[in-house]
Amino acid sequence: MKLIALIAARECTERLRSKTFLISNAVILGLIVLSVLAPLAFQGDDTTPVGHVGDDAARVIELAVAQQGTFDVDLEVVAFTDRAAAEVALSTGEVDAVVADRSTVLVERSISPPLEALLASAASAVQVDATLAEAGLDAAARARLFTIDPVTVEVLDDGAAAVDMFDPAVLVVFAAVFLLYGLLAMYGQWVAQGITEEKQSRVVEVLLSAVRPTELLAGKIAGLGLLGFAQILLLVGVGGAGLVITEVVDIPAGGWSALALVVGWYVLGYVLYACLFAIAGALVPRVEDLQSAVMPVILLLVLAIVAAQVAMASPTSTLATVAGIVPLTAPIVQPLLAAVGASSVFETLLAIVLALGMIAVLVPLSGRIYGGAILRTRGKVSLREAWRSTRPKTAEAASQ
Amino acid sequence: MLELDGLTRRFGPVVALNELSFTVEPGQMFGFVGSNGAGKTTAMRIVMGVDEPDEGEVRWKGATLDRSLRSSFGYMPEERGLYPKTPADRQLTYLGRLHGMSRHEAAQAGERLLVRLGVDERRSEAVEKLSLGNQQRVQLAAALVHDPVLLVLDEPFSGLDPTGVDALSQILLERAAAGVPVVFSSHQLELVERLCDAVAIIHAGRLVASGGVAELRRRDRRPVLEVEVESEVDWSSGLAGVRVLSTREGRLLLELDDATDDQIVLDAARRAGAVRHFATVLPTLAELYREVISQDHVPASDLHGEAVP
Repeated sequence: MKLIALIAARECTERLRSKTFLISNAVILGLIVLSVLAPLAFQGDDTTPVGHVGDDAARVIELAVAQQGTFDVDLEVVAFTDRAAAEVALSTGEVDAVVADRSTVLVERSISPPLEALLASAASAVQVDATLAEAGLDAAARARLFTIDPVTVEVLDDGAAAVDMFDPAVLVVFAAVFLLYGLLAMYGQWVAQGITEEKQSRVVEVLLSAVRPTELLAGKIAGLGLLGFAQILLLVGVGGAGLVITEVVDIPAGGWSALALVVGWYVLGYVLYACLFAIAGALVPRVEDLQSAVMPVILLLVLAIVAAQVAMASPTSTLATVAGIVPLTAPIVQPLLAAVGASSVFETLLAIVLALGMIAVLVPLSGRIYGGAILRTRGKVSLREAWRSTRPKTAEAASQ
Repeated sequence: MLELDGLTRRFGPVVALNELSFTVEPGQMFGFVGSNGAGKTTAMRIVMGVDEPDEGEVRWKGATLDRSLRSSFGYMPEERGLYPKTPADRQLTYLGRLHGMSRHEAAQAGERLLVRLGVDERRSEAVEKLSLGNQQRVQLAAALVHDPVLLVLDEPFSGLDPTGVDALSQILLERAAAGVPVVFSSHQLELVERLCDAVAIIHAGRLVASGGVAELRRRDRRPVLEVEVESEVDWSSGLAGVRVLSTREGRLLLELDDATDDQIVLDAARRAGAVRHFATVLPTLAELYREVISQDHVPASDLHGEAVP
């Protein structure tokens, strides 16, 4: 255990010493901070200044403010004493529109459709109210008339309820999942590369005189895994904290647990993929041969991210459900499905259990293949050769 | 005391080691000699636990080797290897710690070795930037850093210049004098003869000769005399129990029957003229090696150098 910790510590410190690592992290962190802050800059002050002249107009504005939520407009009200002052304010751009009386809206050139609709709705309400008052209806009766239940929208085909990709909360989880994908690919390749480098430089034989192959592999995977875990915590943490502080988007409670799921799935996904990358790395003699060796593993990852995109388009499709459960795609698809509420507790648990099961198979498998291939420094080793050449003390004699 | 007992290792149809047994005593400089592919590397890898035998075992002070025993051994593999981009000092500290030293101990031991080997000024440079000779020195330091109780060195002298050979020889002799058995393989038989107390010669995975260098050179052979006499007459041909092997530069090489007294030969020589040179000649290790190899009719396997694990 002490040896594994020592090996893991070396993996971390060597990476932390690397300028490329530090710089690339600073860049990613910068991008995250930027993408959290950027909407803030563009958003600026998104209230709409409108003016009014006289009491009727004030009543229109009052009703408009009451309804503005429905029209997605945020009014900032300015009162003018006369029309001349209002026209000056319009020409300087101080206000976007001025309600002159209950049937007139002044604008400098044009008016945005939501604002026009909002003011029109408010104005017509004021006019109807006035007409009813003239007809002799008292104030209480008129107030009742205007107390109307807001319209709610019911979606019948909930299966097709495609995820609103522009829902900020979903975007955040999707960004986090994309980060997870990137880190899995990056750290996985580092595992493979580290193994091949030790093999190519032949230092592995010196190491193997002091530690077992499985310890060496475990230390390497654990060290890089911890570093990657720290990194995803940092990045998701900084991103999340940024969102909370700047209040750019409101993350619903479910969004936070989805982010936590992303981090959790990173751990499972990393161990799964690190084992596969380790096998690929152990089989080739030189770093130059590594690209083709890791290709199948990279393809699996790409498949997973493609499945994730398909799952986003229709989260309740069979494909999405299956991809959310199968161990090699689940780390990327499952947290997304959970984020949009398309995964039942049973499916989530099943995915976790299957992933753990596959880890239980892959760890000894990759350990044996690694042990069998790591000292074969000449040429590419086939999986079969690697599997066979590890020599369990007793089984070997029996098989020959 | 290191004992290799009946080691057999097969790679598919190829028998790399065939019941190889020999013993290395405490403080012994032990040369391991054999042609390329004879099985030296495989045997050393098995001692270090990097490979495993199909049959047989290796014992240290009577106990079957395990990981913790091996951790106190020092190893220099045939294929040198260090982390290319890591400086020598960090490299040695790391390896020392893998062998169970504390960080402080390992750093100090590494520093001492780098000074001793004359590479301390380059200690914080990436190893790949050092000359090959200096890389080799760091590699040796890597084998020595944890103050091993046994050294197993595969071709430690290959690639070293004469100064390097001397420096390495001196260090190894010191370790041996301190009671540490040093097992090393080499093709430089003169060097092995000069440095080693004992050797094992292997051929095609089998032990063909082993023991003290001096005994091996004497064993199973008739005494040979080298004699130089200032004389024109042929004084030697008629001597009973004496065979003339060769004449070179006025010197005769004479092989004596076991029963023949060399003093009788000396008397005959003196009668013929002034004796300028009279000495018993032992075969060099190189000659001995060729002799035992040629007697051995097992065909050499086609393994070369690195054996497939």
